Amino acid sequence: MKIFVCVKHVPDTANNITVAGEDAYDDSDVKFIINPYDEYALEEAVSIVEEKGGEVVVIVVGKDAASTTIRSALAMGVDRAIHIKTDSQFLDSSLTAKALKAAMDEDGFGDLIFTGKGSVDTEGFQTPYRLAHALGVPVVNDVSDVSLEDDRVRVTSEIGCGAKQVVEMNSPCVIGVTKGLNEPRYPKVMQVMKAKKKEIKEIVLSDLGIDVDEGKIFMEKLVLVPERSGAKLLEGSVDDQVTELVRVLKEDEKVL
Amino acid sequence: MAQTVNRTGVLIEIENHQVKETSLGVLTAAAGQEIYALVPLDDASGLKEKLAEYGVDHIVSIKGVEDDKISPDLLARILVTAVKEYGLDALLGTAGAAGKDLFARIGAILDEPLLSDCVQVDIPGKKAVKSHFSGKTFATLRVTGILFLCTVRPNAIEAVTAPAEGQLMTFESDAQDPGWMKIVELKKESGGKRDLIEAPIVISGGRALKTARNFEMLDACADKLGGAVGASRAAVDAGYAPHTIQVGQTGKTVSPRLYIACGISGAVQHFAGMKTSKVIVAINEDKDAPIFSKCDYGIVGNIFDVVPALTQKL
Amino acid sequence: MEKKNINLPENANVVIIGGGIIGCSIAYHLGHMGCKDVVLLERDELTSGTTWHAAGLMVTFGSLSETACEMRLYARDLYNRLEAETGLSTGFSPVGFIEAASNRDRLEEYRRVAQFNRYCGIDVNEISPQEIKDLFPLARVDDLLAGFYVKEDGRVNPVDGTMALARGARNKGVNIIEGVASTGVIKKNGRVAGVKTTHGDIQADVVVNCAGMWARQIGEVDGINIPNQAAEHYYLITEEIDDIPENMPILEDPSHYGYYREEVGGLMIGLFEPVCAPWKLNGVPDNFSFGEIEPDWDRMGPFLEKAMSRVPITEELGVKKFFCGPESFTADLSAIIGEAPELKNYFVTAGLNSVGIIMGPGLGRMMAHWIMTGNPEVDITGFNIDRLHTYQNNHDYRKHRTVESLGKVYKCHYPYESMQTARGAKKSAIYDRLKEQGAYFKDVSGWEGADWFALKGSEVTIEKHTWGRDDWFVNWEAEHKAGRENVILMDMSFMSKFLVQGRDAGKVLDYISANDVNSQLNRVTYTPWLNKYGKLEADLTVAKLEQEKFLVVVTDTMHRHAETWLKKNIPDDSHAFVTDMTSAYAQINIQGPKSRELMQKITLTDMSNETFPYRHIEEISIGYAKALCGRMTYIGELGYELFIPTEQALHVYGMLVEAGKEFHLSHAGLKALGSLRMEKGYRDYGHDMDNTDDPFETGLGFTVKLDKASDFIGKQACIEKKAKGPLKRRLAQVLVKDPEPLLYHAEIITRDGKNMGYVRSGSYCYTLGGAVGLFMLEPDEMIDDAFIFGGKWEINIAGKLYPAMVSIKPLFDSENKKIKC
Repeated sequence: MKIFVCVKHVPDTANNITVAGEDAYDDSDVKFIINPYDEYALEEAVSIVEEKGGEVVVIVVGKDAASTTIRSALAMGVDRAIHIKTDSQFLDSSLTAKALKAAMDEDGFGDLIFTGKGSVDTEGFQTPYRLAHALGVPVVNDVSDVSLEDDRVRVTSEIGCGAKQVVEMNSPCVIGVTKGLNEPRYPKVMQVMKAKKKEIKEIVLSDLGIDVDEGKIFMEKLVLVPERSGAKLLEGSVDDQVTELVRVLKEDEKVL
Repeated sequence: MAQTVNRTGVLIEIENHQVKETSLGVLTAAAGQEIYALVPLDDASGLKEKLAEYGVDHIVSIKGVEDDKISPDLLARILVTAVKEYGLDALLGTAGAAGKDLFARIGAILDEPLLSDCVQVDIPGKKAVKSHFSGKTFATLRVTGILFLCTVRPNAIEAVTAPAEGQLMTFESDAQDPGWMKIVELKKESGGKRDLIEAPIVISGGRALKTARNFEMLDACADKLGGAVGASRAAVDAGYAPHTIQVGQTGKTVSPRLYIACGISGAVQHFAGMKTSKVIVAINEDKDAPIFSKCDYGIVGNIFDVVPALTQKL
Repeated sequence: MEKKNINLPENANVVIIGGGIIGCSIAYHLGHMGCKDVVLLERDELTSGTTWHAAGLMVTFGSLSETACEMRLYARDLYNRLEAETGLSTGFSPVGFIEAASNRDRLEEYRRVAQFNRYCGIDVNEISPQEIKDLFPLARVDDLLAGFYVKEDGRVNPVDGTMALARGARNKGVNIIEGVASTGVIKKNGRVAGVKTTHGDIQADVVVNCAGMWARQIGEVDGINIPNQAAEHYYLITEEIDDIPENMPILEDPSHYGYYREEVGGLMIGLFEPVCAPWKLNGVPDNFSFGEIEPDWDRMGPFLEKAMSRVPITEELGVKKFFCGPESFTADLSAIIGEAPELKNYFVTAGLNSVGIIMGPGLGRMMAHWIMTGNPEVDITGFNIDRLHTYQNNHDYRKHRTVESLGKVYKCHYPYESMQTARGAKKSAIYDRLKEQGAYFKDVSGWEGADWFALKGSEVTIEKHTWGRDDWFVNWEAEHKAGRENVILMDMSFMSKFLVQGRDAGKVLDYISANDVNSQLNRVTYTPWLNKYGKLEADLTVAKLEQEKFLVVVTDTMHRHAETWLKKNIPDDSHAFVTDMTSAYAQINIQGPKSRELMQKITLTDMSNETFPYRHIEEISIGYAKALCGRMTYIGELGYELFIPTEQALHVYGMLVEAGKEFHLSHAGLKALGSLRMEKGYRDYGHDMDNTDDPFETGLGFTVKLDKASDFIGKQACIEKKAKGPLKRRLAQVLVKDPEPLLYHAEIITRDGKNMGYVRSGSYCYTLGGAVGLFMLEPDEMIDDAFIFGGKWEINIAGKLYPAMVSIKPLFDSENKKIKC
């Protein structure tokens, strides 16, 4: 069985982001990690192959620095990696999908493709769909349960308000996963050290025939969300405070 | 050179045969355009008054999509044909779970750029503002493409009335289901709690709640408020709340018009998940808690006294 | 980030820059001491620099400094009681601490440390490997020799601890403001007048730079030298362990580069690797906040493997997080603390070398006291900022030295080890000659100082450090004996030398010095410099060369301290000017019974005792050179100190060596200097005496001339001290009767089983035939002959007791006959 996992190298959400210029962020000092949702994808793929045999290939589209994320993925048990190199901080998801497809075509047929449901940096939540369309296969996103039957896949995905739907689809297919699917394993130190020896195929984005200038989304401006100027603390007894709060919310702020 | 945008479709979401509140805000986002409301009902005439009040020029009843197990791929294809039928230059939707999924499919089919979960929309300029980096920044993105595709974050844009004609039409598509996917079961959450992302008001609890049971205090308040309950990561990690209602960088991002944080210290990670709320109220015993420098109104006090008192007053 | 509405006060008494553990501790203590109008400015959020990711160990074991031991005990106690005071928990958890010794050298070191720590009131017990295993079941103990266990030690949550201190500070009226960065200091008349910030200026009298890894670059803006350097620091957290044993103490095994403790159901391994990586040599970005560094798995892999082998289960566990964060280190592993020599009332407390959480409370208390009273009242010689030189701030120096600093935390701290990196910065004019002679060099305030000379045929290297007698001891012994019996040559160019000139030079020096330094021309006088409390600031020699020209010579470690003290105490309108001549003069000492004969061979000046008595100084001719020759000695023999213009030093050296052949002149190094002076009990400021001692207790009463015509700094305090009657504590020598053991530092002296003091500095004295140390004798009773001779003296060396002999008078040549001949 051959499973592709598409993974993104993103800034750690716990850290601060510094805007650089008008439309970029300073990625020189920020700590980067595997996109958290992609970890569930990796874990699922590796578990399946542990059970059924085969190989897991991780594909990352990103800058040179993405090699640390690739290393983390390999440490989790992925067999080998494809690193599609680009210099862009923000790549149009349509181009990302095209690049992923091109790499998959070149590497060979995949039985399943896992991705995280979206990335925590650009928050577009659409690459799995574009990839699936390019590959001509079905896709379900926000998946919290996966079971494989012979040539069909049964997944449970979240549809809001705590409700879920169970979907059956043909394989090969694209599955975008979310938190709750599994508990991603923590690799041991030995596995991290061994990961260094696994194969990483490096491809430059333009070699796949993808022209960054053909993207259709442009970052015009990136700004930090402004901070509030500080709370108005309400005074008095609990009763006083609550009465005043309700009044303020109703009459001044008009949110009640 | 920006294309002039004239015809904007808005996908209306329906609950109990009523227009969902969140869709009204999306209509306001399209103000100034010739608005086509795409309604997934065989007969949308009962909604004419409401839709017309909020600026809809043409109300399109889309036939044959009322099955709640309709394949999203089919629905997406139907909407694609509607876009063509009405010569729409833009299509807007709500960035709830369903809307995000649907629009991603539409974007993929048409290979058109999609701006998802936006807080500000500029249709003529083909731009929108949305979060990047889990609530830390706002990105203004501009698209070039034939169709301006965009989903709006629920409650991010305040609905404003704009009386229009609301001309009724119907549409029947010849789109085909690719047949490779089937919804076999729908599991509704028991209790039917409000969806956190869509709720106009959210009240969240932190580790100070001390037990899962105490979250019922927040449920009671949420009911009165007409809102949903959220939790901080500390509360989730301690087992007081399920991770599905975790608000924060590794949980959900919300933008309600009112966010009440109870017993939450206001660490960076939680704050990023709700900092774009219109009004933030914090209730905490510790007057030096970071959240008091980041909210609009604060009450220094014991949440177990204040929250029930608030519930009573509402 | 946009700033919220910030209310910056216009005035303050004290502005603290930096809201980590150090800044908050100083704020807390200033508040508690009643200081009003204190403002703490935090650039972003409290703890956002290094504090937030500190491991939080709260350990009292490990230091050989009495000052540090007391501070550690104070910290442990404070973290324990802060919750009751402030309502905020510090997360202090006394799980216990074990230091593991995996080889004999470590065992020796920790036994010595344990003995000393007990003396200081720390309850540390030596336990067996099995007992280690009982306490920390997950450890592999088959190669361990022993453990040193402190039951009351444990860990603290660094963020909570800091927040509790901040709350305590706020409760006392301290204004803590986040989101404001300082951009510089406002100066007026050589002192602090205020602070400039991103939100306006604050007029203030005192500034304290506690900015951690930013301290250096913040200081640079105002020309203040603070050469700390950030480096990568790691810890690893494993996934949870099913049924992890409860309440395991913290285990530390420096030989395996790691400390180990429980963390959220799994284990944390903290690392101090031997070769480390400096970070952001060109400056830490201003907005680096709660920041992490991408871990270098490749570099750390081998160190990790070694560390994990101590707790084998970690090899099988998944890694939840391999964390890397910056911490700042200094060139010599001592912190950077004190009032900056460059600017009055600019205080610094930074560069804590990974012990910020442990030392924060005690240092905060000391700094608060220092700021409020002008007197630290604690021995600061170990970490005073003025020990550091500006070249140590150079990019290359920091880059090279930091690589070694971090690792040294965990190295076995052998007594004779010197730092190996960033060497060769300063070399005396005769360096190459010394090298040819087989000198083994060590780092002496950046100079290459000859420590000992290898006899012909032996290696000029230390293959392996030990706690006992190294191979090269034979060289040392030979040099020592040559000094007592023959004649030796020592290169002392690293000594700090200053010319003080002008009409008022003599008057000023006489006011600053306790001794009479101005009455006789061509005379060298040994004198302490006291502060107004009558305590020692420095000890040095002053030579009156001409009516308006004086030469001040002080030890290398006190260079900037003495210079600053001197300049600070020259009144503005005095005609007295100080010039640093350290580089201008090389210094070569010729010492020993045959030194006169040697000197007479190379100069025409009459060197007889009548014309050139002890303490005489004059310029003499040697070959083509002119040199200042002073008859002084630090080894207790007939001897001379030559101050030679640097460019003529090689020439003079050549003449000395040529003439010396007849007398079998030996080259001698600093080891011999140390053992020779120790026999005489000559003091070494910063080692045997410090700023908390007065001249009477340290046996320097003879240098305090209460009856000289002029007033001097500290006179009143000295008068009052003398009036108090017999001294309750006195610096004394201790000699180990058994010729075998060696003394270094911290060995405990007992009399009839009662603790009397500990060795401040020790050496092996070949003429006396045993190890000798200087210690501050502090009994509860009168120190008289009956006391000295009437008790059974013993000394505890690494847990073993040896008979000893104690003396107030010098053990060697107490009548000073050899000096005056």
